[in-house]
Amino acid sequence: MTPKRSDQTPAAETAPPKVEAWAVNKVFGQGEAAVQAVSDVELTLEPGTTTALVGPSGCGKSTLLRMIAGLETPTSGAIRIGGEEPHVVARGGKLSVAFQDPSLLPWRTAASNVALARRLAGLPKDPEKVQKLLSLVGLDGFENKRPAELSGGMRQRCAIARCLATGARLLLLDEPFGAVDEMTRRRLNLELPRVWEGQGTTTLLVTHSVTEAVLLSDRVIVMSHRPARISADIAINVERPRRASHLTSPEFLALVTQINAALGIVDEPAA
Amino acid sequence: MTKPPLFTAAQMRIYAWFAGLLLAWELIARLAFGDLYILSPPTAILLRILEDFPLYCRALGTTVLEALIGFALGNLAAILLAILVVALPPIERLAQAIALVVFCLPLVATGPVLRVIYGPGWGPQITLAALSVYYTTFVPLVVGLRAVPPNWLDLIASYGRGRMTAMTVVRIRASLPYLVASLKIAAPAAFLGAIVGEFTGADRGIGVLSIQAMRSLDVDGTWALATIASAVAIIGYALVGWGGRLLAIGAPPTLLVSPKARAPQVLWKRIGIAIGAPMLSIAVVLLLWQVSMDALDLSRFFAKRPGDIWTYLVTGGQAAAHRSELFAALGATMIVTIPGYFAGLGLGAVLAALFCLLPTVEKIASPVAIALRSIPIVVTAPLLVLALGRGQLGMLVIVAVMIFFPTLVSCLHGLRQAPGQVIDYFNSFRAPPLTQLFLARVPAMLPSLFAAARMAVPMAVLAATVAEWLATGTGIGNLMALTSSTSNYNMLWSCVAILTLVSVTGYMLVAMLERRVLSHFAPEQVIQ
Repeated sequence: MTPKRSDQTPAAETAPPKVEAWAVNKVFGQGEAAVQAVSDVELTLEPGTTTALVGPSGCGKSTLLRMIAGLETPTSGAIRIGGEEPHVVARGGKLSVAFQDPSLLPWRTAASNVALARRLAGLPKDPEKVQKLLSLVGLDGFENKRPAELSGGMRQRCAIARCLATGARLLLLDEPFGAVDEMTRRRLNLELPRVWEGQGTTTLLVTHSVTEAVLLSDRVIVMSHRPARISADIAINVERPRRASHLTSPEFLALVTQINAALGIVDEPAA
Repeated sequence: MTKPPLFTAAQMRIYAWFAGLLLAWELIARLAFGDLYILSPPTAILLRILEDFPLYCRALGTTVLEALIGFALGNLAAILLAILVVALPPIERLAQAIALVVFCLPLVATGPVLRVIYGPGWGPQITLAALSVYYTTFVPLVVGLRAVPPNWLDLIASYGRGRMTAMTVVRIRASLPYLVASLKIAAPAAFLGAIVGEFTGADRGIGVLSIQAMRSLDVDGTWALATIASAVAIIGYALVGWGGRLLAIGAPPTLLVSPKARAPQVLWKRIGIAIGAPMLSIAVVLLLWQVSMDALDLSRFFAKRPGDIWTYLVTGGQAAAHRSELFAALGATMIVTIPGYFAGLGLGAVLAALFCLLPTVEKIASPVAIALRSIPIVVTAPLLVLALGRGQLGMLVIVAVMIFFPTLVSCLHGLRQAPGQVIDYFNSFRAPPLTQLFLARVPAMLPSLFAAARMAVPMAVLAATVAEWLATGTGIGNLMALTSSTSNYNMLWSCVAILTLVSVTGYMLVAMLERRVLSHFAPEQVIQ
């Protein structure tokens, strides 16, 4: 079973970490079958900010996130989280990942799926905190339901609650709203950031949706396909908390247009 | 919630069919087979069971207890081995190979060998019961422990946890549906193992009574015992299934593409593994054989070592004579086993396809087939010998019947695996049923057919040797019966070795063909 770590500082008392990546490359496979998934990425995530990574499918944004989470090792280059290696930080339970697929264990109830994160991070049980998180994501009354009895959006919210359960100061969100319909997605986009914005976290969000990226983050990084590297870095200076009305404001639309342009989504010049 | 009716219309129809079948059986047995010593009418069977109830109960108690102990031991071994293999992937090839060899041991011949090793008592029956369950639990469980969505493992890893946590938190729980499915099959299989153990020399139990009844041409008694054995097997199967449903374990996690282990790209490495792995496996099996005999300090007179068999068959003075005797017997067995194997397999697949074209027939026949599938046919071998005579045709039928039911059930399951959307697509063109069958359903059935074909290899050998041992007086089964009664242990061990080799080779040939065919039709099923 998981050992309890008594020597660790409670995560709530630590400050959000700074994340740095230097000349990170990732190659899958060998020889002729080799694929360069990420090439020469230089990146700094300032403590307490939210950064979005956007780009076409297969541009390496998920791979970059997985490397920061310690799930993959860079082929070359280095990544440090608050000066430490990702796998060391992961082992300390100080980072939390939300996956594209909610990845809830089907035989556990919503509450025990959330509680599992604390067990995996070696933290003591805290049913009150679990309950609080579940009501925060609007799952009051669904604590004892299994994932199969929850809707797609509820599962996703449950996964977000799990992601927050350890009080980690670094959140890595890989398309956390990917499997949710457009309406629910927009609602979650507006509701959930309030949960983590309040407590001071460094957040990295991988997404396909330009609107979502602008709505949630302080900074949007655009990655390009082949070579898989950073092609634009755009600051988002929209007041917080963000509201639905922002979606139609001129400055918001200008940012969306700017990012779309960086992604190569522009009108063909008239012939 | 409204309570469902006690019997649905479909169930009523099935019961009506059963009643009709029993009536027809009764009439045919009374009118056509009156004095032929073949077929007993159901009423006579029932009367006999009531008449000898205390005797049958005592015998059944013994056999069931043996089967239960074997069931527990065999499955426990399978579970531990499966966890070990998944925790330590490098040992997998070797563990799989050894598991396969043990699975392919001819139970009939192993019985007398175990008898001399254990002496009188329950040892051989329990060991055979354990041997007949562990492989069918081990193989699916390894698949189940592995068939975990990669995301769940990422979740564990993202908290810096390793394989142990993945095993305890995710893998073991996720494999439970596979375990329940295996245990369902194991329940009748353990019963079969115990009975085969009793066939080859025990002093009490259902198997002993069956042999006595068959040898004294007691037709009603043979039928009564076969009925009891079949009923117990079906009850065992149903009980485990009921227990599984009670625990509400749920369906196995869905995987779109099974995780693949890549074969090494370098040619010399692939050749090395292709040749080296089987050689290593053979060496380890021989070593285990030698070491286990030495460690138990068993007498060389009856517990032969690999060297003894080598001398007896290859280098010894009369080796040539021994070899020709052995191979003549093996040949006689194979002449019926091989056609019986293909007949059972073919019939099962064709009938499954036919059921698919005639859904009404399937509704009635499918539950019957599933019920009959859980009967270890070998248990009814004395009956089949009585009914079909002691000739080659009778044996061929026994082998075919033994394989037919598992193949049919497996293929029916496979045919249903064709994705609904594919079927909808065919329907949108109003494609005729035959086109659907060949283009959509048969390819979906292939993995199940091959799985059945692989497992059927040792089953066919078992069926043939049991029939020979009990009745026909031919082939290698008879040679084993003779040599075990004359204490010619060299020849007995040679029979065990050669039959194991034949089964393993047959299994490997089917597996090779399977890889070829599936890499074309169902590449996600091919591991390696």
